[in-house]
Amino acid sequence: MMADLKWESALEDISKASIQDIENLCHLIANSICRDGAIDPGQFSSIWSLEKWWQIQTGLRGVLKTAVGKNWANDQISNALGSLDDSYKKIICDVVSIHKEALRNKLIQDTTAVSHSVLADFDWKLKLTLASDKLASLQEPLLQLSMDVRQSNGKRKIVTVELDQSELSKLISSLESCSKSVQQLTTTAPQP
Amino acid sequence: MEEVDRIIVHSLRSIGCDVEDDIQSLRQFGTELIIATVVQCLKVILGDIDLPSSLPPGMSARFRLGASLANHVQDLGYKGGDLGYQTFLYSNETEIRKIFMFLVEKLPKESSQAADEPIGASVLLQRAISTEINTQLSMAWLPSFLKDKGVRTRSKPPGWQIEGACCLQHYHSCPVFIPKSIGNISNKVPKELRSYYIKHLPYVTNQTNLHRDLAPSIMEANSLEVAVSQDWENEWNQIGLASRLSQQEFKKRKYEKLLKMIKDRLQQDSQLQEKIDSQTAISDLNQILTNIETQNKTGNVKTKGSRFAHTEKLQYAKDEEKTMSQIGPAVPEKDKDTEEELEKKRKEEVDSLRTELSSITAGLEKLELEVKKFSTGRQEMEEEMASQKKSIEEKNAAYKVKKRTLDLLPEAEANIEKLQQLVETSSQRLINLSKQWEAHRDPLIQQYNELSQLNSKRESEAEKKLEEIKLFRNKMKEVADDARRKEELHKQLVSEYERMTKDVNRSAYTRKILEIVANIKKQKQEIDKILVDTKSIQKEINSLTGKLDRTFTVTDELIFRDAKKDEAVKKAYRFLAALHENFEQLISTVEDTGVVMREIKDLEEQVEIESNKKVLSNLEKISVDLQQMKKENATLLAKVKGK
Repeated sequence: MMADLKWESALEDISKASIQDIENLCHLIANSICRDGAIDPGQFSSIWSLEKWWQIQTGLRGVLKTAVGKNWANDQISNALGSLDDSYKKIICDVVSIHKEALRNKLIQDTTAVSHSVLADFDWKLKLTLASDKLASLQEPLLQLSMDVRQSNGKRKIVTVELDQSELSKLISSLESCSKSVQQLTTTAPQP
Repeated sequence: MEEVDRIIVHSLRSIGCDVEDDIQSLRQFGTELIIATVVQCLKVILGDIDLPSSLPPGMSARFRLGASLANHVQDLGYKGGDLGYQTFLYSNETEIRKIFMFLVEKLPKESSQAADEPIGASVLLQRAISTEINTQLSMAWLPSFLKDKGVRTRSKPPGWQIEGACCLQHYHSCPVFIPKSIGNISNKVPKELRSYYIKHLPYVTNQTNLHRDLAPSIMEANSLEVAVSQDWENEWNQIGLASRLSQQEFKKRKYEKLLKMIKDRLQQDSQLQEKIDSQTAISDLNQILTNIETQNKTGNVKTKGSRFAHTEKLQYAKDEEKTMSQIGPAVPEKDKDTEEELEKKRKEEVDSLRTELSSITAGLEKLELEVKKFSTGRQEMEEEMASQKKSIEEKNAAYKVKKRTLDLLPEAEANIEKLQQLVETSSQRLINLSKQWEAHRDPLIQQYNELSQLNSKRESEAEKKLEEIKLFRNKMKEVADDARRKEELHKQLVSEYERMTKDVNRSAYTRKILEIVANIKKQKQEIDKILVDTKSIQKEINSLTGKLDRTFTVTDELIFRDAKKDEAVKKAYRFLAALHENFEQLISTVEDTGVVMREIKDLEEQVEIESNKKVLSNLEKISVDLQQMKKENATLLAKVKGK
């Protein structure tokens, strides 16, 4: 799973920092996993060098993800952490239990997004076209729907669609039928 | 009268007349005040009129003003009597009161039709939107560099508005972490979670990566919760209750169903993949491999995921090994010769490969045929083996029976008897057992029937209760809707009530009106009584005078007949005549007194009215004004002559 040599040296480095710092770090890492964000290494620059920081970060990230993904109990986590102090192990176990829900949701989301694009956000603007080059008075309301699509390679692409009223109602009705069929699928699945 | 005056003064004040506060009744209105208020009323009623708002100093101008006022009021339809300049300049309280009442009625009513019907919330919303857009449109244009991110403040009505599209931002939401179930003390929160909430959890405004993502993230978190709870309620109300399981059991069963479904699907798909032609499988798996490699490079880790990603990966891993072994030898090697030689080599290779391929396919076909033969042979052998086994068993059984009989043969008869006894005892035992079984079976069957009946009853009862629950739920919804509607109505009416002016105390008026009506009724009753009295008295008078006349004529005749003969009777007759005359005079004087008294009353009333008209003071004023007019006329004449 993890390069064991590197992990062992990382464990030593972890022991160098205080408990408070490790607690902060674990919470920050858990939050950054949930939110796809990066952590500023500046706050910990006094304790570790940049290379060690990367090692520790990847190690802790790996621990958190496997612990939540495979639903490890506290003993398994402490086994995987190996030669760390008990107080540090307890902190890491606590962090895992606190963030379990959120990390689990995030991992499930990532898994369900395998091999195809997923709609992440959408935004709409209501416009009124007053006139065009062919007609002087064309009071037509249009909806501009911009969808933020997260593709399977991780990049985000924005797809913009302009709909008039009938198309919008078609879209809404087709989405409603989708939701109904999903509901039927989940609630009336065959008996075990 | 005071009420009427108060109402008149109040309405005059409300249209903008400058009436001083200590003036409460019309008696205190001076000429200037009367004229100013009447002019104001006419202006409000008729719009633009070219009338001066105060009494002009010149007498002729005053005269003209009074005449024009009288004309206007008569044009409006006043039917209360003759109007002229004198009604305004030399005023009389009752007439002024009548005129003011007429004018106040003619004042245009304040537009309160809008507040008559309770307004719906959507109409209010639309009106609010239109007023806001009007105020925004009425402001002058500002260039965009004077607005801070499109925000512009305004002073009346005070507020701010956003203009332009420069400040629009993308909608991007992040998951936010909100502490749950803290408000309810009975919910136990684990200690480390609580310490996390207290020490480490940043505020929601700090949780998003960019500040502009805060609003979208919170909106998304909120709407997600609302949608989930609504979905769950719908599902629970429709299907969950019908299944008669508790909530946790229902959720558990649903979870298991979904897991099983997903597993079946994945297995089916993987089996399908194996059946497809190997070439397409290789290309598909190639694609998947490259995808996975790129994903690994960009850091989207999928090696550590949930259970199903893991099973997926396992299956793909197996196929991966296959494909790796197959891809290896299929990769062509690059050559460094010249192009022609390359082509030749390639052609030779292709030919050799083709011959190999054909030989191999021929060999494959032969081998397949042999495999088929062998498999059919194997099947036949298996069948034979099975049949042989069966016959062996039968023969074993027959052998055993025969061996037994052989053993028993030496003492054949005794053994036969023993066997017969055995058979009898066993048959008897059978009969016993069957009786016992019957005896045992009946109560059990009865119990079973009873229990099944109970069960069906309970089911039907449970269905009834479910339907009742559904009915109650519907009623609850209706009652909640009703309550909401009534609250909205209440709010609207309260706001309307606050909007309405409270200067005029309507309840006092209604009370007074009702009192007046009661008074009038009493008066009417009294008048009726008096009329009845008067009529009865008149009838008595008539009957009494009739009686009197009749008795007089009777006595007259009677005595006159005897008067010719006797002297004493003549005297009596003369006395009778004198008596009758005197009493007649008496009656006539009484009637005259009555008439005179009535005339006195009438005259007194007229004296009062005339005294109210302030004739003397008005006369003095008129004479003074006449003098003034004469003087003005003289000066004008002099001017004209002088020119």
